[in-house]
Amino acid sequence: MSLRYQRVPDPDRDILERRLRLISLFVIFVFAGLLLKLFFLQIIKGPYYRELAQKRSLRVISLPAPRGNIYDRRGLLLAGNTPSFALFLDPRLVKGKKGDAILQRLAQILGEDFPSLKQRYLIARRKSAGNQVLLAEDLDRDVVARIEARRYFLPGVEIKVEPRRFYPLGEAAFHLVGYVSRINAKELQRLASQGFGPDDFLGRSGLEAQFERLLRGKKGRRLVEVDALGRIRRVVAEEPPQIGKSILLTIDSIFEKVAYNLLEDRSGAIVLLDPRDGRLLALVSAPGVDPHRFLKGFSFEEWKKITTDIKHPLLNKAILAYHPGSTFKLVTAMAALEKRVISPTKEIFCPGFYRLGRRVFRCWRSWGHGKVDLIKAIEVSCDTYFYRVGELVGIDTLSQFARACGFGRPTGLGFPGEKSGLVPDRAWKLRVFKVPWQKGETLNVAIGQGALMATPLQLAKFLAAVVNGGHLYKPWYVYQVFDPYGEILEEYGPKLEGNLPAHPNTLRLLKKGLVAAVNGKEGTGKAAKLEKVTVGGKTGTAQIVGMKKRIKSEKLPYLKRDHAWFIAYAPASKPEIVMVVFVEHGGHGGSAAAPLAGKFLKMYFEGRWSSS
Amino acid sequence: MVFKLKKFGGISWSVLLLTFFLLIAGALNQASASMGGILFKKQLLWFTLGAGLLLFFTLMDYQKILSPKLIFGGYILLLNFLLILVIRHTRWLRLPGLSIQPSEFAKLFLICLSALILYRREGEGLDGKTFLGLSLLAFPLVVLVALTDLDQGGMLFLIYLSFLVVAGLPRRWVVVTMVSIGVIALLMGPYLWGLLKPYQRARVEAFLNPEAFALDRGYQIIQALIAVGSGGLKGLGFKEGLSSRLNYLPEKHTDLAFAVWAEEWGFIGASLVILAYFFLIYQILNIAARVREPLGRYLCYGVASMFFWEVFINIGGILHLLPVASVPLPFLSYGGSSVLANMAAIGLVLNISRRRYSFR
Ligand SMILES: [Zn+2]
Repeated sequence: MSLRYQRVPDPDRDILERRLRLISLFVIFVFAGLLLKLFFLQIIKGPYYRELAQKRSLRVISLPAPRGNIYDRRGLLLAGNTPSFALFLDPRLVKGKKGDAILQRLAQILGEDFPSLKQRYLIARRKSAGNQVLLAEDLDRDVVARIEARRYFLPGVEIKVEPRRFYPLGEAAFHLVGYVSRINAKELQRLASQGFGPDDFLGRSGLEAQFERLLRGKKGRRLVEVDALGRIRRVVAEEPPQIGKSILLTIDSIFEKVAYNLLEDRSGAIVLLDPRDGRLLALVSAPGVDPHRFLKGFSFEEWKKITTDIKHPLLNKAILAYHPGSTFKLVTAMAALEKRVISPTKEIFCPGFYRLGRRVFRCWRSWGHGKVDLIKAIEVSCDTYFYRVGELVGIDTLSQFARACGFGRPTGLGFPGEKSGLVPDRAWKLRVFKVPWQKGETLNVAIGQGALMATPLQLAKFLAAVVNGGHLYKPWYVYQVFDPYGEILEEYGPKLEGNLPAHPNTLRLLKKGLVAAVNGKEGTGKAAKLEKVTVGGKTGTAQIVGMKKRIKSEKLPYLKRDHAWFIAYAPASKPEIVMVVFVEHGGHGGSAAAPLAGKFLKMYFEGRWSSS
Repeated sequence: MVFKLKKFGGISWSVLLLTFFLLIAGALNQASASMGGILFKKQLLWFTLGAGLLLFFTLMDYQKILSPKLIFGGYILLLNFLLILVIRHTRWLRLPGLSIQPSEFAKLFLICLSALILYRREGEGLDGKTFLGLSLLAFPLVVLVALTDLDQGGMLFLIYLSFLVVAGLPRRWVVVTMVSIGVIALLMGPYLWGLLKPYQRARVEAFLNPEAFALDRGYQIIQALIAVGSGGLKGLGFKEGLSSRLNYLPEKHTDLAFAVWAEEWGFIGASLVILAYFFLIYQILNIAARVREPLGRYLCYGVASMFFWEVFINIGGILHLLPVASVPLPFLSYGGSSVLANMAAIGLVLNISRRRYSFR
């Protein structure tokens, strides 16, 4: 278009027309500028702004995947999920003065005062690194309703329903099942590439940790359009979450609960095994902690209380190593019989002590047992007899047998944190202490003292082999792994590790001694005796401080008291259950541990379960 | 019939068609911005009323109606209204059922007044009497409007300046004014800066660095840029604009209407609208140049300057060429007063265009 002005003869017009032409040029110039800038923004920078627009208004929401369930052998739940409401804030919307107004409204609804809520929010926001900020969990349903009703006034506030870990047995199965807790900042850095978010949970101990990969599902993702106020307007695409795999255990949750309750306020552990194939029926450690508390996290005081508790609620005592005490005499006896260093009928006189060179080793019964043979020695747990036998066997043979019985290494259960225990020998002594083995140490090992350490689980595995004909099974507890649709993915069975280095005749003699220890007139484990079923067992009292004179444990301060052991099996004729009871600082095995086994086995065989 | 048809004879069809195009664009844009809501329907109502006003202004005998007495009387009435607004501290004159923004009509009055003064003067330069007259009439309007609506006051001031320019502001005056403004800005700058209200300062700061003010003024700039830029060549499609649909654009019905349009119709649609404004303004200036009736040419010039400043400041703000000012974009922004005033102005131009070859 060209400027065509009407030519008029009036000279005044020319001046005005010239001005208007100049002004038109200015208009052309300005509009050319507008068009150029428009071209720059839309054509040249178009892709950049389109990306910005998408970054701003498209959001990926990760959909939590419920963890798989853990079932006991009856199909009862040991760990599952319940829905829980969590409150999230969008840091892009909740900030500044508007954010304060939102927080103020929330504080009113949550019944919390505003400054503390704001402080909590600011701390949580720092941790969330730009993601949605988790402000509160486990909301009551009426709080949820009140927030939803005020949704319009709470932009950037979102309530999410999340699957929450749920443990029906609570602290009773704490050490077996373990717990989950939120991922921490360090772990998040490491695992972020695997799709972990700041609000994810990780299995921390027990089965939850061991089978983390199986139990964990795969998170889903949802691509949504979010408006300027953070409200979701449309779902663009969705990838549903995959539920984790479930596990069926050989554990019996009734045994688990009853055994835990038997320990009451004691510190200790109980292991129940089926000796016929090594399947684990219960693995209990006390005291436990309510695993649900880990979901929320602890206050500083709560955590301090737990970590400074002398009963160590966080330690799983079933897989920690202690002096096995007299329960180990079975191994000494086995070695002696197999190496034929002593005849089972050969009697040894116990005056209440045993003299080796210039050293005196005391029997637990200071006035002595008189003449005892092998069976009697097991029944009354005569230390003198086993000092002598141990001396005859020697540390080399004894340690060799201990290892063959499964001591000194993990049982093969695969449980996280399981200890190996310790079977001392000459090489070990030289390596660790740089001094040769002393003969007296052999005597201590022979009665389960000295440097010898074993876990309750190892003792259960060993006793099961003794009573099942010598088959050393690896304990196992996972029976099946299946997907959410019930499809069995993996199935497990007994795993034979080897056989005890013992002739059936030797095992028969050991069992005879075990039965005598419970049923004999002077049996140390009489407290576990049942009327209808023959129980076999062996007490153990592990000294933890060496003392010149034997003092009754009850008179000592708690931390210096002996550990009490009792290992048992029943029925003697056709063993179907092996039980190991360990009471830390419990005192004498016969009085502190054996009665618990007796109570449990009575309920077991009478089928009348009461958990108190 | 013949008589009536004759009345339309000679009108500038291009102005009418360009206006029609912008009205359609405005209607579509409101339909999208309000998601078919009440504002869209109200805007259509304003368009209809505006069409009546346009017809009236096209057909009336403007030389009689825009008599000095009537205009001056209306001017006094307007000043009273504006005074009331200042006292009540509002931009809106609320009547039952509707609210009127007198500042929109103040622009028309300023144009008519300035045109009357210029056409009655002698000679073609800006003599002292004309300058004084223009300034004395414009000053109360500018100040009163600026007290409640700084941006609209600025618009009035720009229209006033435009009339000074066309009246033949001597070059040395321009130089002296520019230099003195520069000196004052340099010497008094910090002091004047301190006099500005915080939101006014924020506006300039946001223009210079939108990211740093992403929550307030800068937010509007950033969101407008994202909306415009993400339109690309073809746009996201009618009612498909992400920024508009998801409410990222504040003031999307009014100040940022063009951003909505640019996002949904892309460079093709946005440049069409800008070109339509350009040709509209250009045509009106063209009419001003051709018309042989002095009052008419100054009126046209005034209307052209009003449209020019509104379009330039609004779109320039959205495209981040200028600081953002709250000025409606003719026909695209929602607002009854703006629609009515603008359509009356177009009617006036059409009226004048009929006379471009006629001598009085
Ligand atoms: Zn003895």
